[in-house]
Amino acid sequence: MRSLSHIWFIMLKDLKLFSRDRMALAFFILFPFMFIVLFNFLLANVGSEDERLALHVVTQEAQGGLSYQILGAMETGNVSELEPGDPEIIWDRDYQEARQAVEDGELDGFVAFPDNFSESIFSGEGTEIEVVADAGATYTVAALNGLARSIATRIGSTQVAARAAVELMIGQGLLDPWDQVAIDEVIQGIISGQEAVATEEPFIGFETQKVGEVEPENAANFVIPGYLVMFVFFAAALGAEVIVRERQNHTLERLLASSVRRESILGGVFAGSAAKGLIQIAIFWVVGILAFNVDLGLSPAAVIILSILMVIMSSAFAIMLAAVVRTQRSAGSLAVLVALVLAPLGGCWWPLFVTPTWMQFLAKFTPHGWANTGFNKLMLFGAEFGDVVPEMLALVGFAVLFAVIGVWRFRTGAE
Amino acid sequence: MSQAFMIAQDLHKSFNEHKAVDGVSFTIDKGEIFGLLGPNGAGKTTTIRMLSTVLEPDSGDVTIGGYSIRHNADAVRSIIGVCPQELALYEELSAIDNLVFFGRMAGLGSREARDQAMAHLELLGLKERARGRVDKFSGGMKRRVNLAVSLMGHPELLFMDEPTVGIDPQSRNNIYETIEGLQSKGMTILYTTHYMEEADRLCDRVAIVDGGRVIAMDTPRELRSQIGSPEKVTLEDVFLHLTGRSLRD
Amino acid sequence: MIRPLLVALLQVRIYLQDKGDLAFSLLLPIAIFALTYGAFGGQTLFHGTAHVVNEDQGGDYSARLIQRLEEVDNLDVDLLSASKADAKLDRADLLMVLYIPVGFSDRLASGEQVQLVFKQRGNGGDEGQIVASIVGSVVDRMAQEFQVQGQVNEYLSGSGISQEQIDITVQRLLEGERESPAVMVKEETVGDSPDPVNEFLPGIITMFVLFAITLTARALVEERKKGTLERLLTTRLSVGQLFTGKFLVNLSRGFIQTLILLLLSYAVFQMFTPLSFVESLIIAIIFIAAVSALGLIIGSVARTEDQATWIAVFFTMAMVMLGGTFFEIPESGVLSVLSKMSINTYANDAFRTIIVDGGTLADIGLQMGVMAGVAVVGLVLGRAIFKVMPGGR
Repeated sequence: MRSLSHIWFIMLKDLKLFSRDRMALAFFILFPFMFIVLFNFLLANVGSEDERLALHVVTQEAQGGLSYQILGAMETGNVSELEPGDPEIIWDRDYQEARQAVEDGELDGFVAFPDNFSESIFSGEGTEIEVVADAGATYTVAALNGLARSIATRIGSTQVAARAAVELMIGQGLLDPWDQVAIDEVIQGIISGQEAVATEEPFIGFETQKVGEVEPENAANFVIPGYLVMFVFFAAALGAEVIVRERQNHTLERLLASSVRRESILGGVFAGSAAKGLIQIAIFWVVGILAFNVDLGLSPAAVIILSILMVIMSSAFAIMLAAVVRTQRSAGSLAVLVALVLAPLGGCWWPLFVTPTWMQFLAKFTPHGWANTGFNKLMLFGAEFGDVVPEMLALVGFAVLFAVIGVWRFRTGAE
Repeated sequence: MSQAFMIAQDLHKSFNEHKAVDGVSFTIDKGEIFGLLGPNGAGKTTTIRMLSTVLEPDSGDVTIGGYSIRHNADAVRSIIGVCPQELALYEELSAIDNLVFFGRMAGLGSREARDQAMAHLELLGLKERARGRVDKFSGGMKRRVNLAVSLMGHPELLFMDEPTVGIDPQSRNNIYETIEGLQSKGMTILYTTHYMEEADRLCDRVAIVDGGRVIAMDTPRELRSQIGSPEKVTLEDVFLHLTGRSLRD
Repeated sequence: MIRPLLVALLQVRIYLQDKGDLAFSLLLPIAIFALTYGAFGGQTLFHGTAHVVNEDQGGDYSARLIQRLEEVDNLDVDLLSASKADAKLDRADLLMVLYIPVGFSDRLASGEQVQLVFKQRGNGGDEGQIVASIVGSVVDRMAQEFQVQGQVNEYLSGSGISQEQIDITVQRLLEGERESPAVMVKEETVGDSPDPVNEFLPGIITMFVLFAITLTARALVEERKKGTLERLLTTRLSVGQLFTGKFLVNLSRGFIQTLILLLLSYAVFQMFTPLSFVESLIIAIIFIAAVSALGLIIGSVARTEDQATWIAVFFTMAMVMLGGTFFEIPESGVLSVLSKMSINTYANDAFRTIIVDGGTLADIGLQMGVMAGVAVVGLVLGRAIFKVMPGGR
């Protein structure tokens, strides 16, 4: 009971000390919001990009070739007749012009048929469809590749049908393998059949059901969690400096002499740091909801629990840092160093899901990575409570690790 | 005959290979002001830290008010106060906030802590500055706040480790008068200092420590008479005679 | 002038001996650059997720479709229940979901046509449309296989060729087509990929120089409080000389830090010519001078070490973010105006002109002028407010 009251008083004392430093208080609360406002500005329209894809196609063949038939069938006549999500296919007439447009940055890319396309198909030699694109136009490259593969598939299947028919008829003795004219007739027959089929409904078709419009993603839904994670940790880590200062100026030792146990000192210091963090997250979420319309997702409770676990982990880190360093300046420098490395690595400055797989893997070694993943799942991707239990457990694990090291190494200065 | 209030028996403490305290034994009677003198590095602060339960001795024991520091540390802490050499204060807080905090940590209730705090600040001439931030105080004022904090909880035994270092004569005098006043109310005090005239003025008995051992212990007058006429010889002469004139680390 | 130089030399020696400080100012920027390079550098490929509701549980063809989707590089498949998918679409947590209807496999097996359903918001978003195009190409392949079978059957009906023979031949040829398609898709990229080194390195360097120097403001506050600044005045050093010395300290530290980072970049990434390296150093010196002046202002304004740290961190992060270090600032709008207040904007622009665009110092007159102006104004202001002791001279 006495230990609890000691913890309580140490916590209150820390909060009081903190509240006296007006400038630190302002930076502790205002500073993060300046970045949140800035990034809300910067990322305001993220997620609202919903323009219909426009894919350019071109052929190098002479007029009348097979590619002309294909492009004629693909080209979009009337955009208003397209289903939602269907791309607009634009037939550019000049290959060199299209290529120049890509080089000049006016066009992201196009699909091109080679000049010997028909010849190669009819002779059965095989050919290549080219996707020409700007190096940085990732989305366009993917879309054009999809289109090119569809075209390739259709042509390939026509060839399969033709070859199958020819092979079977030759096998049955219905066709002379040396009679090229007859073979060509069979192939033409298949292709004509393919053209007829092409106008019918495909075997596996698509129906589009529109359930609403694409609304711009509220940038605050990923900006606020990222900066919450960064600044809660930052503030707690800098709090290690205060703990070291108390060790250096012997106030911790004085507490020991007045029958306060070492565990109570640890508990009180931890509680003080955690209390500051809880105030910080409360402000973040209240302002986030009221001023930035943050959506806490399907499970607000999970968001709150994740935030609290972040605070607990950060406070444990502060104890550990205070335990392993000797001077105030080291504590301050290390706090800034660790906070600034873990923030980008853990997805505080940019969402983890835009980074390569190996970076997402590295982020798993940081508490920030787990916290941000949890917040993104809950607030961006509609996850429920159960979906973020692994992230919660990871934060608990980090907290325990830091706490064990901190408690083991913590000195009050008397030792 | 006064009863021994504090008994230190054969205390030893080493740090790595270095023997900081090497068999220190002494007693302090109830209501006595006992001086612990010695050059730098003699082991005074280490001794005080052991007596105040902050450091555990390698061997030996101390009983204070009948309680052993080894077996009843909590009970010991409830009857001692420590005024350390360093200013162990929260300088961003006010004087009264510092006192109330440490008072609450010592187990005082809110009202009681506040009342005691004001009383101690008044005693030390700081009542008008009770709500002032400590970091705005002069050195002398900070020392007085430091002393006031150690009085919270009305300790029976007060450890004072060089309480007047670097302060003006007025503050020092105030502290002397406070100490004498505390003694008159029955407080027992263990006092360390480098200022021999302080020890001479305040202490009933003095132990001189050097190299981690007690090399002399008696009343100041008796110690002075060991090397000459007590009216002509000063305690500083005794100190230098016993510990030598060579410089210490 | 000797005395300020001596002040500066002492601090530089301390800096070079302080492993922690060196680690902070050298290793950290390298680490951050490596992280940023990892996040945005290298080949960037599309990576999307196909959200699928499979209502045809246990069906062969639906399972086959999902398996083929999973085999696509850079496409993840997320299987959802219908109710969950509907809820997420409703909340706009998802923009597009593919529904495989009940009876999909049975109907295909019996030769009937089937329809997959895309439920979406708007066009499905950028990623959704790409995913739809990829799904479409996979589905197309499956559909074509049925189509081929049907076509060949139809063409050869009445020929006396057994169905079994037809099936075996068609399957064999389809397998062959899958392995070596008659029509391949070849990709050709035009122009240079964005070079992450050139994009980010200048920004990282300027960021850490800014950090290192603004954090020295903390040390200045410490010295003021401890009285060591005051002590220097007892050596007949004037306040002006002391201020100059502190300025030279920051300048030297920043220069050493930048020199090492630029030399490493020269050696590892070969991003300089000898001329552009020298020009970059000149830019660096002017930038560092400006930042040093600002660091002294912070050290003069802050009353405690904590305040100095917070001001330095805030100032640096604001300058870095507005300076376009990690994100491109739009060319017009509020942000563009704000970015002009960041000294990093000018430094980063100057570095990019020299390193990326192959420009010369003559091309960056404005940027150099602004930074030099900031240095001069900062020094004048800093000197005016610089105090050796609280409340003193």
